[in-house]
Amino acid sequence: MDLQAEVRDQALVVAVQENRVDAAVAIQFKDKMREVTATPHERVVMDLSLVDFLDSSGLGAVVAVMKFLAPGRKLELAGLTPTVAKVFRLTRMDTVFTLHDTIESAFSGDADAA
Amino acid sequence: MTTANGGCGFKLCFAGEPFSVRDALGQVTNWLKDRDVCEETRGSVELVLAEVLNNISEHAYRGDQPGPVELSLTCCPSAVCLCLRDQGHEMPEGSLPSGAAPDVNKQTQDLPEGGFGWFLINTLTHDLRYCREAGRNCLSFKMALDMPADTVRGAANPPQ
Repeated sequence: MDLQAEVRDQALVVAVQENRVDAAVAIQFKDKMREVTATPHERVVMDLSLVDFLDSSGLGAVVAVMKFLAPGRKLELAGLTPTVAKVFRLTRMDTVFTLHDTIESAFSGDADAA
Repeated sequence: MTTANGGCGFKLCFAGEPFSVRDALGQVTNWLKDRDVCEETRGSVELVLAEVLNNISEHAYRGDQPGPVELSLTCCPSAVCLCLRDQGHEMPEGSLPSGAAPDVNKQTQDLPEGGFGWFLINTLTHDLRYCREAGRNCLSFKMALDMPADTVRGAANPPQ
């Protein structure tokens, strides 16, 4: 599970360097997210632009990350690919997370919907 | 994993565990791609199959050695018909789960982390049927396809 974390404008950006977040890797994904987000940044932006497949196990893992960061820290998502966006839309999780079309737009000051 | 091709469709047999499931999903996706099925439809088919197969590996074969799964795909007019068979435990109460959408209108700490699988399956398929026959689970469903007409005509010769 390759997650690359870097600091940008006082936020922590975590880029998921995997094509799939599915049942095979959901637990590793959660564990690794816990490791890389062990920083004081209140805003965490997850870049999902390389992920072209996420199933309900992957969705559950992303929700779990949001829950372990809360209440002091906020998880936002950026760069959802079409199939991933569909999972969020159908489950209405698109109403729960702040979504950004791209990682650039997450830092442009405009809130947008993926 | 074994594969049998013929007509417009194919069969796969593989172990009901996550990495074999990934491999099977890749084969289905490539098959659809070779027939010019659009990315959105391929994504929906892959998602539904992933949810069904995760359910088989996590619940039907719960904690046991992963058993075999048979996947058959055949073409129908404007749709693919999919059928999955496994030798695991029967569905609770012998029927499909309700598939209701989990409520996401909650405080962060109370948000659901699961229960979305059957909701997604119900939403994206039609003619969803489950039966238990001769100690096996059999789940079948259809998904609308945008496959070119000349490919669908092969449905007259489905694989055995």
